[in-house]
This record gives sequence, structure tokens and C-alpha cells, in this order.
Amino acid sequence: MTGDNPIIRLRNLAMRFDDTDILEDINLDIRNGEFLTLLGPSGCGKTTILRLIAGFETPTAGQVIIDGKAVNDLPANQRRVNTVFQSYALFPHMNVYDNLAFGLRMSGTPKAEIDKRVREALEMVDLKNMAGRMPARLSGGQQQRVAIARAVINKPLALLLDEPLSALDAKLRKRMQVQLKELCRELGITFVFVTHDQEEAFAMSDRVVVMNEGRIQQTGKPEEVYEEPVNLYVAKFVGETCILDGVAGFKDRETLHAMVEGSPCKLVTGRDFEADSPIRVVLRPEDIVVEATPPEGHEDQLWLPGTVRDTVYKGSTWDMIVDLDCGKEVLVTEFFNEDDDRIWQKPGDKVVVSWFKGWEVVLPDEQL
Amino acid sequence: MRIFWIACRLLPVYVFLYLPLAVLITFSFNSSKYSTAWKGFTWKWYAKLAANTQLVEAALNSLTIATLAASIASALGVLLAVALFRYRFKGRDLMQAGLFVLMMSPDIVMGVSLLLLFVAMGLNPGFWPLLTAHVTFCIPFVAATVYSRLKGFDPNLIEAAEDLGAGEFRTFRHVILPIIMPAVLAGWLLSFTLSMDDVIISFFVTGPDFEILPLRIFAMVKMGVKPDVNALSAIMVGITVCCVFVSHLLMRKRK
Repeated sequence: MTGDNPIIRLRNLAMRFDDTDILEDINLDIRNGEFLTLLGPSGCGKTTILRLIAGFETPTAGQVIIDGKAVNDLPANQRRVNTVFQSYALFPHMNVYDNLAFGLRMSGTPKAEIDKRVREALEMVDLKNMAGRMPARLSGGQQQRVAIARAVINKPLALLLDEPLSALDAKLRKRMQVQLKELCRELGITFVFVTHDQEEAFAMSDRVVVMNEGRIQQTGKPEEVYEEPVNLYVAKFVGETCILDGVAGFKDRETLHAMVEGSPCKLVTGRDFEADSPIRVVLRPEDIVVEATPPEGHEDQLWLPGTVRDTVYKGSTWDMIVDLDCGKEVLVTEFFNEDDDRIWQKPGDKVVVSWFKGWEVVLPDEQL
Repeated sequence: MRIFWIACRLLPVYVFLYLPLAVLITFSFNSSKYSTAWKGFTWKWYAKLAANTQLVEAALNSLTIATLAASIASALGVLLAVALFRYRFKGRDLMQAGLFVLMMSPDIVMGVSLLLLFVAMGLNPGFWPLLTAHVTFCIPFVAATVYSRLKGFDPNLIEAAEDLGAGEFRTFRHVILPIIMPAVLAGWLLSFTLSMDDVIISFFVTGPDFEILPLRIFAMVKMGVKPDVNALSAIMVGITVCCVFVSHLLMRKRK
């Protein structure tokens, strides 16, 4: 399904507005048929990228290439991409049918063909009986489906979605996430999705682009971004983290001998570090192991002492917050295991904390 | 009882607002030539009015000017509002501020300056200068009405139209115009009214060969208010009531 040939390429794209860099040095290949998500906090420039692709903005520098052609000078109405706006932007004076037919009428499609495709599109988004309704008389979820149908009916090369789910309630949102993903697969159209919600991005995307302050921080599959963040920003933005401080020592193949939180320890990493340079060890809640005392056979690992502050029962997992003696705080997630009833900790218990060997991510220290 | 108290509270308001009109309409049916005392019911002033060709002609002139001025001002005002809303260009803020200057500036100043302009251009007072002047002072009102309507709308709508393949013109025709239509109608009616009852500016720019109603009436009342003027005014009130009623119906249907 997902071809490797890029349908949209962004080359050294930059955008300045009022002497502020909105985007800097954006290079991105969007593959044909993939579901790509631009993920970042508000103001990171993700929406601007979408607007540059759609043709609503002109880049200060660089090129937007759609289907092999540079389109910098092509206005929005001549680009073969369509947008689903955050506000949906349905035409309030047209009923659902006319909203859907708008794009086809603009391209001069014959009437019979328009009628057929509008019916199909309505069927696809499950709004068969709503053709005559005005947008104001639809619920938020229905409006959203109309907005999606109005865009995909034109068979664009790519569908651009600007936080289209942000106005929906949590339950509807989850359902729409699944539907959008299915739609992308069924239609074979490239989806470029913008969101600030990390869970949403992971739930839907083939690839995620993490952005901050106008720059791409990391591009990769959701699991790559989560498990192998390239820098501290990505690590912190994506999911819960516990970050330990340390100093690098010498490296022996994959093993880095280091001091972490004042104790010697062996870390597994593919990166190279200069001796004596500061490092950070990034741990996820599910990486962490909690014991009463260091278990036999694992004494060579680093066991950080601490006190359980609180435990949170979440149904499928058991979360625990541990205050380490070094001053850090760790969130631990333990999955229930039928055979092994080892969740025994209560608030106030003295424990030692370590992690599954090799699950840690070691990054150079950056001031963030 | 409740109704009685409500009436007690509302009555002064209605009296304050509508008593002058009521007096005017009543006296238009008064058979006394001197308007202040009631001497019995009559239609004769209306008959006399119909026979007053000068006055009827002036009324028709006024209607012509008002209709033309309102239509031209609406067209130009819409273009101006859409340009101000859609494009960022040099002098945009100045233009917007300029609209308010035009709206706020005293009629007498407008009148004098337009007269000066037309004299300098070698135009004789009459139909064309009058029409131009009315268009000039109506444009800001249309532009302001339409602009505020545009401001209340999601700017993404215009982008959505472009995104779906509509060029400049078709975006305007199929998306912007239908959305601003109520404001355009409101602007047209406002312009029509402003043009109909403008005295001061018209006084400077029209000539003896093209007389309009407000100026004619103004000239007539210099020698005391005659009952046929009352009759004319009563007819105008009637027309206004009809207009308001119709526009109300139109707005209702739109919903």
C-alpha cells in the first residue's frame, strides 16, 4: 500500500513573518499513500507546513514539490491537494449536497457524474439521509464527516487535515481516529495530519514528524520516535519520562561506563560520548523495575533507593510514583501478570529502582 | 392587571417615539388650512398633492437618485469591503480609517468640498454631480456594514473555496457574495434612506433644473407648513413602514 515514491517533497523550506522564523530548513518527503502526522506544541509551525502545501502561504525560501512538480507559484485552487479545516469551514449557505458538489462543479465535472460521486461520498461517511440538511443543523461529528467527504470527493493526491478532531468529545474522537485511518487505507490517498496530541498521532500514523520551534526534531514510525528519541525534546514531548543525570566514562563497544546519579553504572547505547561529557538517561514508566532489595544476580545493575509516594490503580496497569533519594521522581507502570503477584508496594515503602537492561536511551545533555 | 402595568411602562416610550408621526398623519387629514386646529376630516390635501406636478416630479427625481445612488454605492462598497477584508496591501489601514472620516465628517463640509470639486472640474450643478455626491457619502456606510459581516465569518471559508478549485471570481460569486448578501441589502436600504432625506449636501450640488423632494419641501415650508406637505410626509411614512415590513419578511425567510 505505502509506496516509497514521495508524492510531496519539501526542500529547505523556510518561512519568516514579521522578522520571526516560523519555519527553518524543513526537508520532508511524504510518501504516496502514507498517513503522516505533524506533531508538536502549538506555535511550532506544523499548521504553517500544511498551509504551504495547500498553497495558502508562500514560503520565504525553499520549494514545495507535489507529484514531481515545483508548485511554489501555483495558487491553491490549482493544486491537487485538499484540506480539512479545524473549523470545518462548511459553506453555511449551502446544504450538505451542494457543499460536497462544490469542488466537482468548480472542475466542470458533468452533472450525472457529480450526482453519482456525491451519493457515493455521502454513503462513505454514513450521511445518506442528510443531503438536504444545512450545516448549521448538523452535529459536530456530522459536520466533520461532511468536511472530510467534501475534500476526498475530489480525489486529491493528498488530504491535509488540520487538527480536525480537536473539537470532538473524547469518545467520538477515538472513533474518528479509527475511521480516518481506515479511510486512508481504503482510498489509498496520502493523509497529512496535524495534531498536538501525541496519543492521537501514535494511534493513527504510519510515520510521525515531531516538530518544535519551526524545526523538524525527528521523523519516524511511532515506535521509533517513542523508543529511540533522538534528543531530549522528543523524549520529553512524547510520553512520560524519567530522566537521570550522569557523566560519560569510557565506551566498550555497546557498553558505556558512566556515573549516573553519583553511582557507577553500565549503560547500553549505540551513540558515542566523549569521556567526562554530561549525559542524560531517559527511562519510560514501563522500562522501570521496582524491588525491595536488589535481587540476586542483578547486583551489578544500578539500583537507586527511594520511597513509594503513591500508587494508582488503572485497571489494566498499576502506576506508582517513587521519590528517589537523589531528588528525582519516577513514574512506574506495571502490567498485571496472572502468574506473578508481585505488586505489593504501598505508599511509604522503601524500595530500590532500576530498569530492564538495554531499555534505556542515553542522550547527550542539552539545556532545554 | 399585569398587562396594564406593562402598558403603563411602555406607553411613554411609544408616545415619545411615535407621537410626532401620529400628529403629522392626523393633520394630513385636517380640513383646516392652518394646521394647528382640527376642523374635520378631508382627503383634499392628498388630491391637491397629486395635482402639484412640481412636487410629484421632485419626488420622482428623489426616488431615481436614491435608487441609483444606493445601487452604485452598494456595488462599490462591496468591492471595497471585500478588498479590505481579503488583501493586505499598503495603505490598507489608511483606507479603513478614511472610511470613518467620511462617515463622521459633517455634511456641510462634504457639501462645500464637493461643490468646490465640481466647480473646479467645470461641472454644472444638476443630476450628475448630485448622483456622484450621493454615491460618495453612501459608500462608507455600505462598506462598513458589509465589512463587519465579513469579519464575523470564518476566514477559512474563503480558503476552503480556493482549496476546492474556485478562482478569485467564483469564490466571490459562490461563497463571499451569498454570505454577505443580507449585509448588502441592509447597506442598500441604509443608502437609499440617506440619499432620500439628504438636504445639506444636495443643496450644494444640485441645480434648479433637477429638483429633489427634501429640497422642494424645505423651500415650501419656508412660507409655513402647508397641509399638502403633511400629506406627502404621511405617504412617505407609509412607504417606510412597508419597506421595514418587507425587509423583515425577507430576513425571516432567509433563516
